[in-house]
Amino acid sequence: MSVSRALRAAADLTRPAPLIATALLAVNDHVLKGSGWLPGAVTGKLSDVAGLFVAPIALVCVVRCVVPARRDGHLAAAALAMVALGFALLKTSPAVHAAVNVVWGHHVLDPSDLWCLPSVLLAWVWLGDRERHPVDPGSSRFGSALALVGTLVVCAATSKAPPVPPPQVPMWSIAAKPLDVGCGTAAVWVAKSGKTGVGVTVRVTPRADQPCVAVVAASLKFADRAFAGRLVVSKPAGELLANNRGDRELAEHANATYHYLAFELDNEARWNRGDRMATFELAIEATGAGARVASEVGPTPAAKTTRTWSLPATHAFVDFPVNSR
Amino acid sequence: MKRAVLLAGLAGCHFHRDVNAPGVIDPLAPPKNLASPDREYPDDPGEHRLMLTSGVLGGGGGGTISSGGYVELTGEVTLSYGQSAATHNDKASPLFIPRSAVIPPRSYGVTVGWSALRFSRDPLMDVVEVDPGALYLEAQRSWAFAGFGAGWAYDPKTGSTGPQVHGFFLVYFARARVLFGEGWEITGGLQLKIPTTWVWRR
Repeated sequence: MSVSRALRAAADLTRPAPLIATALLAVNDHVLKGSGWLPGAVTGKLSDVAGLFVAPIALVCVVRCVVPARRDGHLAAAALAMVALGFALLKTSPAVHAAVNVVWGHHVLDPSDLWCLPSVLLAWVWLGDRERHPVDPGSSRFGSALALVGTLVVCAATSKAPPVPPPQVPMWSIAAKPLDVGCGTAAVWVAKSGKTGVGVTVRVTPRADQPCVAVVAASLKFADRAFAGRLVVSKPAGELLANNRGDRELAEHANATYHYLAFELDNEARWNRGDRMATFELAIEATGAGARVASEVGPTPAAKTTRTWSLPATHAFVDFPVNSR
Repeated sequence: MKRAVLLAGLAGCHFHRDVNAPGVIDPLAPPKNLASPDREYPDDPGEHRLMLTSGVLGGGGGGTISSGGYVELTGEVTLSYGQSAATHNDKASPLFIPRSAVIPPRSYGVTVGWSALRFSRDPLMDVVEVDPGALYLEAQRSWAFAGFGAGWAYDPKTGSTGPQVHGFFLVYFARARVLFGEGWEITGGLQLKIPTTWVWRR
């Protein structure tokens, strides 16, 4: 088949209806989705409606570009059936959906999208009309080529999946302002929380450039039992900075030391029975200048102070930002 | 009646139970970024899904039980259970159906059904008869939107019983049934069954 005849076969795509559907698909996928101008449910279905209309038409045109086919309706029926079946499988079969997502890009596994399937009936009506009134032989080859390429690109280029936050999970939280440890300040936060326990980080930052060595011990106290924390690691920020250059948090606390304590407990059982409150008992023995009340004259001598705090801890569902996983 | 209306109103919804909600962590392993004040997102334990699916099946068929063929309307309720390796994310799939439908990727279940209205033509009298059909109980195995079931049917009109098998894919279903002493029949048609699911973490 000559190029000229092949392009003439694609001339159907230059008609207003497929052009409008293609434009709608492109604008919806790449502008409207995620813009907030229209509800997500509307933009989600709009692409399906437009795509299900234009895809069978494009498929018929592509086949006609390659193989001369008679305008007897058989090709149109086959294209409609293929598109409808493919769409139904993509929206309902996890296996097909997963495979298509790998080779084609993001698609949503959403059976409610099947409500858009009647859109192929519009394509059926339109194609039926075109079969009865074949294309104008004088139509522009350039226009046909442009419409064919444009339609295929728009159909193939799926919209990028908007990032969404992961599901909420319960985490322990400790309510604590910066703690005065004498020679510096300490900050406490829950780093990990899950079925088998909790992990807490304590950051001790010396005042100015004076040394401040801290020994950290903690326990998590429930009404019926207390769990002693196990010190897993203590690392100066300098050591961490070697692997995390550019970390703003680390740079701000370049002379701090990070202590990680693990609490092994059946956290799931406590969650299930509604044990959502505890007390986080923290003891920090700090040795360094300023640990004692500063003397009036001369350099501050090194001294040891031990301070303890009882901080309320709660276990509740927590939201995480996008890309936390 | 109130309960039936309430159940119908809940169709297409899913409900979260908080049981087993904490994620999976190794507390003895320090966080990946020790200096980060952000909490580390735990690993996903996956979830349990208990689903109550109810709806109607409309179709027709034939066999030796009703020699002239028939059209029937069946009511069905399926209770099924399955697990998902990944916890569903409500924010990732906003559906048209209120609060969205969540379906286990694989499940086992039990179905109770009643071919409540059966229209058949009496070839001798040339009239359409309306009769209640058989009741049945089936064990079901499903893969998301497809599955099959096998069980036992009972015709309250004649007292006959017998085995039946049933398969479905999306909105299509097919069923074959034998009633001892009466004969066999094959039915096919469309089904509209909407799930209500309860989910909780593993």
